Amino acid sequence: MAFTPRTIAEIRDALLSYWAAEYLANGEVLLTAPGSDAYLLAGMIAITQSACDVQALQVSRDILPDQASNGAIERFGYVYGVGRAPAVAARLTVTVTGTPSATITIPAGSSLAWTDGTLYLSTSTSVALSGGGSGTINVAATTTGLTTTRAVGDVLTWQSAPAGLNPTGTVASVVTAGDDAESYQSWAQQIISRLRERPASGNRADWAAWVQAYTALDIREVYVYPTTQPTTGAATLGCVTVVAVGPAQGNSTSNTRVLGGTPGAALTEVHDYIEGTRTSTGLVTATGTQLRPVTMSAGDYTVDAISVTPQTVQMTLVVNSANAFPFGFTATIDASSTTTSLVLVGNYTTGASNLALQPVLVDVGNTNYRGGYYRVVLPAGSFGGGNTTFDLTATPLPDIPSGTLYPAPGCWSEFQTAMFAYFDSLGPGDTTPPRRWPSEDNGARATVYRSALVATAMAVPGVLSASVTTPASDVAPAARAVVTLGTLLAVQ
Amino acid sequence: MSLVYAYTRHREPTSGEVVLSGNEWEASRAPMTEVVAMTLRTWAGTCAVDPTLGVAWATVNRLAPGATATVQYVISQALARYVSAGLITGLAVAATQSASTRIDYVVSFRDPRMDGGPLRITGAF
Repeated sequence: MAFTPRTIAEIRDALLSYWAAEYLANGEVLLTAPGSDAYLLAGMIAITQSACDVQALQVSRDILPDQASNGAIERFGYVYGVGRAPAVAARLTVTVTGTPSATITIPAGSSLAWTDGTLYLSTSTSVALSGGGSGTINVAATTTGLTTTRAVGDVLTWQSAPAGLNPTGTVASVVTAGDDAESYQSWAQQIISRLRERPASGNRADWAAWVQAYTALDIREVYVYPTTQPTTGAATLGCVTVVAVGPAQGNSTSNTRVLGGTPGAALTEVHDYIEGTRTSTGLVTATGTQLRPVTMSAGDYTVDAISVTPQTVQMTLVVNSANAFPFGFTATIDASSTTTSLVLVGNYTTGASNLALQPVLVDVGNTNYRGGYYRVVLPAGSFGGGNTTFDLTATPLPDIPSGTLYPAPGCWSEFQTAMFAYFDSLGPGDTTPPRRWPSEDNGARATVYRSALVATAMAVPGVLSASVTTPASDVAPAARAVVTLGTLLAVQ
Repeated sequence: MSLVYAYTRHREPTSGEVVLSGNEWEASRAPMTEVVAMTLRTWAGTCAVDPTLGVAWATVNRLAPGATATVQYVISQALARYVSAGLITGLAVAATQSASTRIDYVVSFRDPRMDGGPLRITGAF
């Protein structure tokens, strides 16, 4: 039963009422006017009693984890053995440049810095530079948290550049995105999930717990399909199919949610762990414990990475003046374009069609850039032979552009981030009839609803209205498959 | 001693200490006078139980011109809640400045629940 604490005034007035009644019963009247002796005494007691009421309220909330205080959640976590996900340090690959064809030794402890002071320690001890003078090293942030994640293209500066290397490096990819420690709210939700369905005796929660216990892969979510035959997906008693999902992709070019890198592939190392032939940290062992119930065979279950169903998204946005589209036309990209030279068919150097210093979107494909459409501010172009050429040597594109050039709205980056987050929150599809656990009603919807895309876009500051051109209808993935973002474009 | 219309403890007017009669608290014979005296003794904001209780003495600068008017004003403001509640009537506040920086004040009022003439409290700030 919920406890309702009283206010100080309520307690004081109630006390004065009782007190006055006692006097009245004795044939006397107690002076209870504000400022009176009794009023102030009752006020003092009320302050103390109010603190007791507040404490009683908190105690009543701490009985169960859903409304519990942080301290109580920690205690629930300890008692029920549900740990809090720790903060994660970002791990990146960084392109460094220097003496062509040289192999550069990177002294231990060498680190690069971001402009906010975040340091990234090189985990590579040497780098072999190409004939063009570039190479890639691995780095890891020396601190943890969301803020340690860098975008591809961010420039880091060596604290002390190794001999033979230039003083800066450019982030080439995000291997592991940095993350803050799990929030108390999320931790409490985990505990509640554990209490609702305790892992035991090979039930679906047990399968999820086993897979999550394998730490050699960055497994963030697990979905269990009980009585699902691993190969055919048919409903079969005694079979289990488990799908493990990795961390959010963010702006990485590789889908980090696909564990192992191959969509739909069996995660054999997790299978080995459940068989007891591999430790939870990924090492082969002869002394492990088989987790699979002895009543089922090893072929009756599988632990897979998610399958993917790429989906192009094109939306029409109405934005405020601060985020306006800079111009109202499109242009055709010539096939002679390269990563450092954007060639447009026609003259875009004069008048209203002059694209100098204009932010534009060009499709560079999904291979080297998530979502395909890359925003770049064009330098002054040069017209000749019917084409306009923009020299992008200073700001090269991630890949060769093609197709049509569009104007970029001011809030493009925020729009992109919101869409990435939306697709990264999707879960795998369900079977018919539904068998997925946790079910879609308990989080991680699988279907891409067009209205959800609109809602996501509308949440971006500066977007006044949004509509979806593609997909033409809601997209529901097959069982075990997750809808992923293909090409992302916003037009006016 | 006969009891007036309501019981409240009698306090020593200057110090505010309760007055004992033998082993018992002495009852006040002018209940609202106790309340007014308590208000005058209290600096506004210093009573944790009732922060609105008291006179805004901190706003009075005894060296400033018009200090007596300020004293009259802050006392009237402090007692206004009793007037508006009908607990006291006929409130009048007078203040005079002596040769030094001391300001003497006289607060007079009636307690509508008691017979008799106006009640009077004098003090200095």
